[in-house]
Amino acid sequence: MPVPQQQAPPAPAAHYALLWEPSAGAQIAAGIDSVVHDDWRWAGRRAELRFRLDETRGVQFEAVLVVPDEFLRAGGRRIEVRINGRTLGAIPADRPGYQVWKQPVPADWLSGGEAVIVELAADAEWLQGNERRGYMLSSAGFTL
Amino acid sequence: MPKALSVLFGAGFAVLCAWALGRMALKRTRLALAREEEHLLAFVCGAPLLSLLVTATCAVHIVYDAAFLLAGAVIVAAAWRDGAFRRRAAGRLEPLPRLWRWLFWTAFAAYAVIAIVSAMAPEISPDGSSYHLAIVQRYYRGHGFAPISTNLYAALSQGLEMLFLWAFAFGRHSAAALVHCAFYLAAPLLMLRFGQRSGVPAAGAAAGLFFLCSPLALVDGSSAYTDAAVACTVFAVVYLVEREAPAWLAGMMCGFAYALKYTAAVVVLYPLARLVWRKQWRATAILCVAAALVAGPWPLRNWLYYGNPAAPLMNRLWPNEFVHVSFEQDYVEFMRRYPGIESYAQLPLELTVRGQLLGGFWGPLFLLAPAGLLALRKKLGRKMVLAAAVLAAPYAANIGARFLMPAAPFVSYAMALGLPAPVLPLLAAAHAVGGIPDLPDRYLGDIGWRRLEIPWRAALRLEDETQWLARRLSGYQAARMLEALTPPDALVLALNGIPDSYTTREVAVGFQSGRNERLLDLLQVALFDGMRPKVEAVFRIPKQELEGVRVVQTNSPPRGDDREKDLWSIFELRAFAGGREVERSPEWRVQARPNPWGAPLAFDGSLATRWRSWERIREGMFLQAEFGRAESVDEIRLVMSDDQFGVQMRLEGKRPGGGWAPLPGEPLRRRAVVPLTLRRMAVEEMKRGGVTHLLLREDDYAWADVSALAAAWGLREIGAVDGYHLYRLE
Repeated sequence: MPVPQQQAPPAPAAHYALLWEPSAGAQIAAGIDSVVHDDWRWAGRRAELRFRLDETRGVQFEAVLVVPDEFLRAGGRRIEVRINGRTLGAIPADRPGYQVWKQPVPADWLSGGEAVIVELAADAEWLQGNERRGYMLSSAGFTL
Repeated sequence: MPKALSVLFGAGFAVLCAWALGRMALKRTRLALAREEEHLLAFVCGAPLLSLLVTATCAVHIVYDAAFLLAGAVIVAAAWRDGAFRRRAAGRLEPLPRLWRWLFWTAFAAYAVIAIVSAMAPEISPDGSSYHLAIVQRYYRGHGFAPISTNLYAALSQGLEMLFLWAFAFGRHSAAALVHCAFYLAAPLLMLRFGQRSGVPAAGAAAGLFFLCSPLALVDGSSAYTDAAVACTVFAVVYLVEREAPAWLAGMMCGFAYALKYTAAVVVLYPLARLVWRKQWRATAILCVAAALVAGPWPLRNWLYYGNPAAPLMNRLWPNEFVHVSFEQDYVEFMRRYPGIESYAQLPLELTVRGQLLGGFWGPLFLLAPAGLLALRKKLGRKMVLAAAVLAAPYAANIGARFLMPAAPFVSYAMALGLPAPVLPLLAAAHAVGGIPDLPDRYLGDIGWRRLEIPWRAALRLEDETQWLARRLSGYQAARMLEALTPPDALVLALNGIPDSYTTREVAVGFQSGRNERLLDLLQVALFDGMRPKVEAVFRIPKQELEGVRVVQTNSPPRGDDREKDLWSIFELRAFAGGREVERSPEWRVQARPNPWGAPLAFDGSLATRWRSWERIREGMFLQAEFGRAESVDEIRLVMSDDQFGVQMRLEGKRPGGGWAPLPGEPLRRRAVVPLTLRRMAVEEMKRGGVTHLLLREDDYAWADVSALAAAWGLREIGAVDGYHLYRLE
């Protein structure tokens, strides 16, 4: 069978950052390392991402990350998530390992087409050589 | 014409025409019939002929009231000329003993009144008010057959529905139910006459009452179902064979049994075995040809319309888009073990006195069914046990109580022959009294499907039909809402069935066909996290020239494995070279096995649509793209959902000038980005699929999300009634 008519040209998503992609740099505003390790980057005490959403109703914020032991030893317990300055919740980071954190976002916090600033504020950081580290962030952004 | 009269006319006209055709047919058999059996057998043997006639009118699209009236008049006139209205039979059957005469005819009269009144009331049975009559109504409005892509039940054989159609033209739903009721009442009469003919009149009367007065036979036989007609027809086959009827007549009745219900085709084994045993090869051939001629229209129609002569079954043998193999796999398992049935040891009580899990019950009398084995001492008993065994054989495929209906007359007979004669009147009387609506509720407690009342006011339309239906039939008001709020060409997607015979709009119930399942899949992909396009499987290979790529399934989970029921799905298959996507061009050719029709969905650039195997995963399934020329490729990305844990894949490439060969490497799994507009994308795809409206119930799984986010879906609620909400796709 022939290939059907293409419904939409593939475009990089502006509402979600896959941090292994080089294009994710456009969504990183602050606090996230430019170096990609496998499928993640280091995030510091205060990481900031910038998104644009084409739908604001029925969406959730999601972060996929790994909490290292060093973060806990530095006293880290939580990562607060703020959207356009409003606190959505806190990612519990009192245990080492992989986790996916997801939380519904009220539609009236968001406006379609305008930049949405997401701040991930950890309560600790630690030093690896001279580099300040928090946790390993794999992806973050808005999803259903 | 007042409704009650039109109901009676519609049903009476169908029965009269069947009888007239049967009279003419039986005259040509030269069977010596007694007065008690000639009219009864005429109706039963004429039914296949009338059914064939209506099938022919459907095939040539001349289903009109006038055509039926004209054809009916010609049939009756021909029968008149043929002497059908004159008494032919001279002999009488062995009379019934006085006690049985009183008992049988009193109970028969009482049950006949109850059944006729119940059938005349507006149709409220689950299957009758939905697919049996919804499809009849479609044929009536369309003046004949048409492929119905939204309802797999439309592919079942519809021999009785053809008689329903004849009656429906004049009396609508209740007339159709009355036609079925005629078979329900004919069956015990046949059983009685067979007993008289066989020299066991008391056993015949008892067996007839055992069948007639069963709560399940009553409710089924007075609804627009087909089971009682099957019971009547298969009993007629045995009756005719035992009367040494010509092979063409027995074959015609066997073919009609198939036309009524696929599983009833096993009845052909009874005459077949007898003829083969006697080495009557010519008669054997005639039997088979006659059966095939009567049964033949249904596989032929299915082959032409749905690409599968056995539709909606055997879809692996005849792959088609109409019914997915996965549906059949699930359905077959479900029917073999209904919810709540943990062990077959539950069946005896469920089938006889409980009835909640298996959709009805036969009555406590049938706890004595094992006593039927005592009938093996007698020659007639052995025949009845043999027939019961043959007709009960398909029961293992569907353990619902009514699927024992074809075997029930023979089980009843075996019981009547096996039990001591003096207790039969007591048992028959107790069974008859105990089955009257709604006495079972008094002694059995909270039990399953049965007649709850004798709705004489509704039957005579002394009570408003729409109000009566609104009170008694769940979903009736939703059906009427569709009629009021949607245009005539609307296609309404619903998650659960409604009595769609009460609307002229096409309702696509989620599970009821492959097309519906594909439409429902769009909704579910947007709704359920595990079904969304959120995983990317990435194959990285050394850069090379390839003319095509193929992903092959390498896992066949064993039976009982948690992943056994997984389906394989791929939203998008993309090829890359150096980080840039290989552009899809018109030269590309895509293919898949199974479900080749769905392959383009993995290459359409939409994350709302996906190719699905629509069959449980097994080794060797594949999805492929051929580029039409050599392309440089170093990466293949598959966007997938997270609900297919059993899937294991191998990548193959087609080298220039060579064949397909495996490419080494395991896929890397990583997160994919889910479009935030997925809900709206799903609705856009539904519109492309022809859907105009969505009907949801407040207890449907989609209700919470759709009701809260209707605008995000692109839906507008335009009506609500009785817990149902109707949305228009904007």
